Amino acid sequence: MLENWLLGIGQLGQWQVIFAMFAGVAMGIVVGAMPGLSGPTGLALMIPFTYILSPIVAIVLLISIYVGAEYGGSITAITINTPGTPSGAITAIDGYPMTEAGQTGRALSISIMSSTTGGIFSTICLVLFSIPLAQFAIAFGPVQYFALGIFGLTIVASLVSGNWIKGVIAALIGLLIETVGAEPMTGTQRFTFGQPALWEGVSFVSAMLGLFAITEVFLIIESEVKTRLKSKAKFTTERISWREFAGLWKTLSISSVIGTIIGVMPGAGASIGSIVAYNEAKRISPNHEKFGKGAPEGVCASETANNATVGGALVPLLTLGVPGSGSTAILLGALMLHNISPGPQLFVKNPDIVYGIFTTLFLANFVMLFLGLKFIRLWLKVVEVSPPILAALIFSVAFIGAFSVGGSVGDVVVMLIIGVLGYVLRKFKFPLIPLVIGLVLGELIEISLRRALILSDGSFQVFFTDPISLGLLIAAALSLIYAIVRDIRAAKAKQKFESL
Amino acid sequence: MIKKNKTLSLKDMGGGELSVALLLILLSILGWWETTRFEVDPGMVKTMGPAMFPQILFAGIIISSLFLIFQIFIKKTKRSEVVWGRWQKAPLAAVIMLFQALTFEELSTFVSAGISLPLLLWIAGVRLKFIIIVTLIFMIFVYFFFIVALRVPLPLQFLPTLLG
Repeated sequence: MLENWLLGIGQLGQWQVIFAMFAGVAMGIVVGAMPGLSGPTGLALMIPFTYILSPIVAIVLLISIYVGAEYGGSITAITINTPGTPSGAITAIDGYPMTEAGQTGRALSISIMSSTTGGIFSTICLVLFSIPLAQFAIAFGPVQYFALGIFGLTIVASLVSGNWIKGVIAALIGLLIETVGAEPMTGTQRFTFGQPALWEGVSFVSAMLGLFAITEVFLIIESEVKTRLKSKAKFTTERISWREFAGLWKTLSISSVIGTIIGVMPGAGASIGSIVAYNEAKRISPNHEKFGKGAPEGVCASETANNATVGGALVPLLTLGVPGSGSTAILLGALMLHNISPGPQLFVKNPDIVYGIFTTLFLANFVMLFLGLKFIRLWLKVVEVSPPILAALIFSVAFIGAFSVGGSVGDVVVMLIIGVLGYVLRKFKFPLIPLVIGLVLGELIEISLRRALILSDGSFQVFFTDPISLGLLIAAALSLIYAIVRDIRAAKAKQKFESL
Repeated sequence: MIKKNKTLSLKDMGGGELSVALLLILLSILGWWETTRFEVDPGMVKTMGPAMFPQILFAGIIISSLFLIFQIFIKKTKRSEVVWGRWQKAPLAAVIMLFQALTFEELSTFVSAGISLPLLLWIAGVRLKFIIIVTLIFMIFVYFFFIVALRVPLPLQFLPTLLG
């Protein structure tokens, strides 16, 4: 164990790694703070340029972006009541009233200190739980992996959307996109229509850039938001003291636990973590009547929980190779581009990478605390960039990124086609996260399914006789039943409301 | 508003979602037909060949789309959930993006981006002064960051000759 930690820490002893950490956190804060941009967009834009970096520098950069983005959403939520990320909307409930009351500095300092606390707590949980979970999962074969893939995909499809059918369709489209190109077991060409650009399949980088960057560009251009975001509030620099912050220990502890647990659940994500933690903090607070009017506990609960989801979300990613959110799906793809396959074997074959990730998470949270406290005025200036200009620049960077990976125009065209697909799906309220996870897990699910069927002479019974596989498939079915019941209830409530 | 007991038209019945569901069914049928043409290795059971997995997915999409149609009729959705902004801008932007993709190897990165970036900014509603400033700054950034620092092999055509 100690040897692995030393290996991990040793990986970070280069100046390039430290630079990547600072740059990644800064980039994450900026993309998280800009309304319309998000952590996944920032990650997708950076992946192509990590090719020239060593695997550890690339991983540190991407994880640091992920950490920074979860915090960044709170900056505009607190100062201009425009959350940069969905979870920032919960922070705005109490953060903006604090700004109106002339307590911007206090709200922002609570936000960054809470985010750091949540992030560090969830990293400790990641270290404690991922090692035994990886040891348990090491015996998984194709049967269990197929069931695990279906479980991960189903739970995301049913939880992430307000309409379970659209979530399932999005997941199936993601799996289908993954089938394009040479079939993994025999090399048969599928859906390539004679196009050499598709022989190797749809480039992961092009797909991510299309879904997260190009789709966003279309939406920004169409929305005609021209006005720059500027804070009207009088900016105060008075920060909360560490002693005052320690007084929030109860909210911090509960929100950290809630955020971490929700982070582990596929599809739940930072926004659900923030909502649940906020409600719980309000319930237990003796000052619950102050919530919504500028309660520091409200900002603390939301921000602690959303950053605590980061460590939680990395548990299934690192131990099982199953992502539960858009950001972790992109991280999985990026790791695979660097020939690192997350899963139980990673803990055996590449302990330096695993412990390097653990150490990065600890350090990135402290870097975030430093940058968040010291450069707050800079972040507020950066987010004033006009959205249409931002959209055009995102397109241009995505274009160069898609081309730079394979030096092929075909990859750029694929990016544009997937961008149009993502735009149409977003317009029709199909969630993109199940599609991304389907795309990332497609190969694992197909190979596991076919290997399992070959071993069982074509019998599907094998998935129901193995206890782990059966348990996962039952959980997948239950998540769908839950989503169906939820949708029926929501429809009935809507009908009742309309009839009134 | 739609009066009670009135027959609902396709447009009223969540027309957008219905069109998408029907389109997905049509594409899945075409996709299924395409899978029947996949080559199967000699000795491999056809049902476990390369067509098996896509066929399961197409069947899943057809069933889910039928559920979506069923849901639209059961819920009697009164209007499409889709909210279009100035939607004409999106296809126009897509055409400009495609223009850049198809021309930048011939015209070089700087010429094609020099045409498409200002057009994109113009469609997005940016003022001329900012269009010129942003385009120039971006070109300089591309040259020094992507070409000089990161050594991304972008097509340059005449630029190296021009710079000696």
